[in-house]
Amino acid sequence: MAQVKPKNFYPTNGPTDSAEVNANYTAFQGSLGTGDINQQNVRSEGVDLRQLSNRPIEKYVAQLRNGYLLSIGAVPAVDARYQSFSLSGIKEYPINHDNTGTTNTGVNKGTKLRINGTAGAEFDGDDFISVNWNLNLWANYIHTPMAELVTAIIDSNTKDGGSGATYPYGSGIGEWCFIVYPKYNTVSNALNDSDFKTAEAAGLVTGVYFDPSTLTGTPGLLTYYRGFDAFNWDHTMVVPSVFVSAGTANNSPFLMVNSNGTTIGGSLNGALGGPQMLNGSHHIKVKNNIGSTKLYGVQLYISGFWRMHGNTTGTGSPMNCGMFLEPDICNPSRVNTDGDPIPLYGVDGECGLERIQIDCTVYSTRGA
Amino acid sequence: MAYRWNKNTIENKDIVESREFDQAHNEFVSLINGGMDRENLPIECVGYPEMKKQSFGKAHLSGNVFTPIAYADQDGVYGTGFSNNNTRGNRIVGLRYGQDPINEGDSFFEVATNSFDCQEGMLHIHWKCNAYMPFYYAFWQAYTSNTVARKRYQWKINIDGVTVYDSSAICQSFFTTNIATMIPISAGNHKVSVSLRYPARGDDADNQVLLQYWGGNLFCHNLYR
Repeated sequence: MAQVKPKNFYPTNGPTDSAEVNANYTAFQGSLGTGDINQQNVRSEGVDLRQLSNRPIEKYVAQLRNGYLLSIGAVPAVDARYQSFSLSGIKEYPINHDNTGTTNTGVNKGTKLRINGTAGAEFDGDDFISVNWNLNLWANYIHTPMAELVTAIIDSNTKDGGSGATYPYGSGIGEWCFIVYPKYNTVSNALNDSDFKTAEAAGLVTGVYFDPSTLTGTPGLLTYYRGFDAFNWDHTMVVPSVFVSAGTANNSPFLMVNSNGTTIGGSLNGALGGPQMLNGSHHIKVKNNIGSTKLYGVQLYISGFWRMHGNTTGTGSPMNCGMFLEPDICNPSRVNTDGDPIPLYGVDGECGLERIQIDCTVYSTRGA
Repeated sequence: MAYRWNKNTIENKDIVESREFDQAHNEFVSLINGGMDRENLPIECVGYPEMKKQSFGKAHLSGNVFTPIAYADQDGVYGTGFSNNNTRGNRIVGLRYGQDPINEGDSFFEVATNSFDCQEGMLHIHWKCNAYMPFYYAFWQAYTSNTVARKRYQWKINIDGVTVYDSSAICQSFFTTNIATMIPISAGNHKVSVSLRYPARGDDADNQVLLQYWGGNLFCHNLYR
């Protein structure tokens, strides 16, 4: 309430009673108390930017660069080379190499971005969070000869692995990639790695988010499968490892491997291209009943190799689609002690990352 | 500029006509009842609690867009088991020629939409989506000498059917598109749509999977004038 309606003495204009005068002043006082002025008092378009004490649209803005810069031809440090699950048995890694390429779990190191200092970001329901990142993919490092890794499906002669081969050659057709995604910390400003969760698990939104850390059971094509329809993949970005197959022969499927920032490097056939700057984003609408939850930080994670797969038994259409986390290495030539073939058609390797930038903006729907 | 209240001063021992109180008050009342503006209000007096929701703009989100299952078919060549050259046993599923929505290719089809009421101002549109194109058909079709085109796809953002953003053609097997644009927008209901184009069929068979997209996120932010 802010409108003032004092009693007018006109037209009666009689003897003025002190109580009447005081009543008018009381009305003024009641209308002009702390916080009582509202839109009834201020004229249309009467508030200027200088009256705003907060940014009306961007509530919080934070940005971080890891600062890791390599020279052409350099090989990333061990800590900047993130291994596939098939190699390490680790489902996901926080991307946390610092400006020296060394693992650093400190606040505002690697991609561990703190929001609004130690206070954290407060929300009103319907606020929006926007996370954007740029990531320089320096090179993919496969641990297997490419001819064994990539099925030469384009050449019928190699369909059965060439003359005399018992089993087909190659693990696949390059239908694998690493996946990068942000996780959110609403637990504490200490920003411990164990407190970073998906947007859903952090209490910011509803839904079921893609989260490799929730995979359980015996690793496999079906147990480690995540459908595109059953999970929310909004936050994910793919990191390519295969460019293109370039010929009919079995000797030149092009992969981006071991390039180390050069255009011609690589110890295997088909090394192609320099580093790639990839970028991704995640926009979420904070749920209405957010309560006192605060966002203290955001960090990027990486998981791989994930492979394409349809999950419906048999053939035919339509068919659901998703990806599974590859648990096996690639070893088509593996044999047991008797010399019998026990091939593994998985994919194993490392994803070498260089510079990374991440930023987070909280948009206020009080303003936005 | 706001009217500033000039009070009528009543001197000591004046005989005052009560209507003079009216006159003294009414100038103030005319100011306080809807006449205040930037000249009356102190600097930085308006914080988040004083801002009405969506008074400066409004955002809309259409999330988790993926290839509709009804359109997703299994690849006819690279399927399951050794018999068709898939050592891992996984299936490749996605859009194909000869059926909706690609059909014969080279025309845009809609993959995500967002309709909402706008106020006059600017509209920021941000589209992010993952996609996968199998490349084993690039240049040569499996087990044949038939040549096929190297594949690519292209995104387009429309507002009410008018193109406001064209992406370049994307040729990588795995790629995350992350594009944004901002345009002036008029008041009223508007429809933002994201469309996708795949090249026209060359020497390609119906049973080839061409494209799979997922994790699409269409963020629209109307910033008021």
